[in-house]
Amino acid sequence: MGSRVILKGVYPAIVTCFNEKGEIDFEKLGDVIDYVMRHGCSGLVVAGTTGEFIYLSDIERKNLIKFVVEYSDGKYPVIAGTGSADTHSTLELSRFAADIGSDALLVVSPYYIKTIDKELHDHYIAIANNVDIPVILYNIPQVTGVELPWWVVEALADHRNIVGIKDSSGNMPYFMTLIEKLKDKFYILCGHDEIATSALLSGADGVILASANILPDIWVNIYSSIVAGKVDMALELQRRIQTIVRLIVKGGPVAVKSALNMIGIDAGGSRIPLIRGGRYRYEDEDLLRHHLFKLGKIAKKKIKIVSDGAEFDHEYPAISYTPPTLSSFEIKVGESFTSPGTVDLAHIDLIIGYRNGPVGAAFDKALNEKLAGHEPQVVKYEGMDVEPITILIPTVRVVNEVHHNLIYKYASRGIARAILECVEDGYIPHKLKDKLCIIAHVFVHPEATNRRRIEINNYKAMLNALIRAIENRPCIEELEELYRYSRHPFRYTP
Amino acid sequence: MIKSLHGIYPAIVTPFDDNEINIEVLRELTRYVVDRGVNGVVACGTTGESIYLSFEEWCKVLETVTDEISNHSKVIAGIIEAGYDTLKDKILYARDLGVDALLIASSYYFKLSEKELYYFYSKIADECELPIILYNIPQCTGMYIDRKIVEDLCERSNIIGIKDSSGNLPYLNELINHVGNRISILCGYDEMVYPALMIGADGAILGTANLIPEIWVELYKNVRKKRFSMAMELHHKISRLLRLIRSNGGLIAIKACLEEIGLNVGLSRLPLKIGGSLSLESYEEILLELKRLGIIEDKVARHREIGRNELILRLEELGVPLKQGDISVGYGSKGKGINNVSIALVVGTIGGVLGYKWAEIYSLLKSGYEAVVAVHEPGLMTRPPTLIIPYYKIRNLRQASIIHGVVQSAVADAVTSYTIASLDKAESDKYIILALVAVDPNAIDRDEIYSNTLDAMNMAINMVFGRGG
Repeated sequence: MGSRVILKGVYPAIVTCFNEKGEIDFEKLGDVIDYVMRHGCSGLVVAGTTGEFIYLSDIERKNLIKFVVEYSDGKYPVIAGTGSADTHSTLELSRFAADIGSDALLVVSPYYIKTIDKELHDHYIAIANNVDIPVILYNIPQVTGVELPWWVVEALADHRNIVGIKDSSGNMPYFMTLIEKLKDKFYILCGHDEIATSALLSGADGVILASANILPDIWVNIYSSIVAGKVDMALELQRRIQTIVRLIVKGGPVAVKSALNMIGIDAGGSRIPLIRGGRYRYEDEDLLRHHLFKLGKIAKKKIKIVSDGAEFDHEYPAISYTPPTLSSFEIKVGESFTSPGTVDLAHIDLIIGYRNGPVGAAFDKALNEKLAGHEPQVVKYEGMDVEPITILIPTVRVVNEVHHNLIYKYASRGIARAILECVEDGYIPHKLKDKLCIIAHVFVHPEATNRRRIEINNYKAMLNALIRAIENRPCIEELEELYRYSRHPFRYTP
Repeated sequence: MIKSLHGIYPAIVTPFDDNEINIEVLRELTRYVVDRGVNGVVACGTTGESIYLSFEEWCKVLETVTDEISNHSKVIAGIIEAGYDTLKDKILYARDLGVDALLIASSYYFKLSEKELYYFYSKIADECELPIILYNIPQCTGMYIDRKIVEDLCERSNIIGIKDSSGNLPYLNELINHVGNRISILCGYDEMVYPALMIGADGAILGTANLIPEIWVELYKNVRKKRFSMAMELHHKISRLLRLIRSNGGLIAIKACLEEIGLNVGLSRLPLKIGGSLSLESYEEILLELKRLGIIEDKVARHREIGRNELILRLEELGVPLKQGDISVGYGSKGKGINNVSIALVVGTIGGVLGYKWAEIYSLLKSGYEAVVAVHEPGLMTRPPTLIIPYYKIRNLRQASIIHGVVQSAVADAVTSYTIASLDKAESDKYIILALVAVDPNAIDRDEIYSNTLDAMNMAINMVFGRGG
């Protein structure tokens, strides 16, 4: 016992799918498993942090683990997350997981009530002494509130049945201490997606990752590149997905499921209280979509466009919220808020519509009247008008030269880039680009200073607002899910 | 030499004029607070921007304050230094000047072990003949002075007190339990002064005592005379002001407020900025609070309810077509007095004549009357798209934040809840809505404005769709 399982390679920490009623949806889960295993992952972790184990009842957890073990049919190892806040429950669940044939246990350190090193040590010994499959320690202080001290890990490594540790802290000095003390005696696994390649290059045996639900192929490629000594290749791949994994880590299970849904794998939603627009902000969702498309993970789909009575097919980077038919181009309205920054954030709303319709008439009027303090500017990219032809209008009165430049030079450039990209990526059909025009309300804070951020934030906000406008989003289903829990930052007495 | 401290001590700001210390105003400010009954002043504390002053400037401030102050009020010199060697000269200067005590911040930047922090204060106490007040301010220094260190330092006769600015009540309570009978315990966190005094603190050293010294003195006296309910009433009366100041730049806000009451203390030194930690929006809120407390003059605001006809008239002035077949108009009004909200709602189809007007109003932003799209929160727009037009001119950022926050979210909430309950997808894509909203420029209570807007919207929506609009 102890070393039967080989903990090397890439293990997705798979999500737990739920149906409309909030029950575990095994069919959806099967689809996710098929997807990740098809891309060469070494095995699976079920009921981990990304699997929302903390929101599952004991019975649900058991059913979930049992399902995944049976589904694997012995073709790949299944590591069961069995940690609980207390030793007794952990032991019961661990025994269950061992009995039904899990290959190893991933036991998160006790959480909620903070424990000291002796308690942590005795907890793990009690588990390891009483199950006959290998135990993996699990350090994730950002959620447990407790860091497993390295000297406790060192002591536990002597136990014949404790075979490794998953470190999700993202704390590189801590991780390097584990390598320093335990390399080659103990499996050391990295669980933090943003530093996974660095960890592998520093000697990690494998990775257990949330983003491997979505990008199993790339993680397997990174791992095998490192095994083959192709370090540059591995680093290049991590760089390519860094934005995606950062958003995934930040957004947690909600982000993982949202990304799965966007790439065409229906993974459902998360359990209450996790919700889109929370830690996983609307702008994160839009940005993630953008990067998944650029990476080739969101394929173009055929949708219908109805314009001026005519109807034609169009290849569009669609996600599940994209309507199958795009019509009513008289006026479409979209809005987006992007950060970071306190004074450098961007907030854009816009209308897009026919040049010879209400938006076009308003477009001409705005240019004729040129209202003081809110003067419109025709958006250009490197001196050329963009298509669809666009004006920006500052929503805050222009206060001085710096503010003026930030709006008409830097925000404007970001907006121009976004429009060109929307056409290039297929959000705006080529056939319509000279028939449509755009009026964008652009908020630049009078105290803003960071030119580069103003350009980037406005680029992102324009991209998001434009796509939302084209797709008539948020749609009613989204509003129904989200609006009751909205929190407007200026709604409350300061 | 003093052995203890009690009462209220303003941590006075250092006035600047074009970045030079403004000696005249410093004298004026010193007199201002002393005349209002405080027990003494702390010069060159955190609020005095000690960390931004050169040694010469530090000396100049202390010299001025010591010279200005009368015999029975105390002068305490603030010393904020990371290392021992750089503070020795300040101790010598303060001694020669004859200040009453030193307030010395725990070292900062490097995080010290207990031993090092004890070493730091021990060395100072050994070398210094003046009474010393320890100074715990972890939000600036990055570390606490552990109670056990304080306990050991109490053994030295010239350590006479500790100022705790952490705002951590269990910590302060621990100090009072362990060393309260040996040294003076002074609270430095404005919102915590009342509870601190109630559990046995001896006094307070406060930034806001620049601004409202008389209120602090009264609160302190009430506690000492066991008029606890009066003290608590004062505490709650000023709490919002204190919280707004603390959470919006602290000393920057204090300086801005002092300017409002006619003490020209100037700006803070860079990098601190109005428009930075103190946002202009928050500044407006602070000014309202000062008016409410009677610290600065308030011109009495009168409210006049905007009736349906006035709203309709405005819509006509804006050229909104009201009599076309596919357009419906609704009206709603809710609330009495200054927080009343009145709304005229116009609903039509995007391809129709209202669509043209909607887009035109959207594209012609008029200064002070800027129209804004209704969102529940940034990133979550309502549907059908709804454009809010303010009836009153927006004159400042506070008023703007009420339209672009409270009203924006309430309008969106009303529209979306109707859409979900009563419209199908095709309808929600077909309509477009204009909402002309009158909220008095002096309206204050955001909860009330929110619920009034929601109710007025619901009335207007029912009027529109009840007719089969």
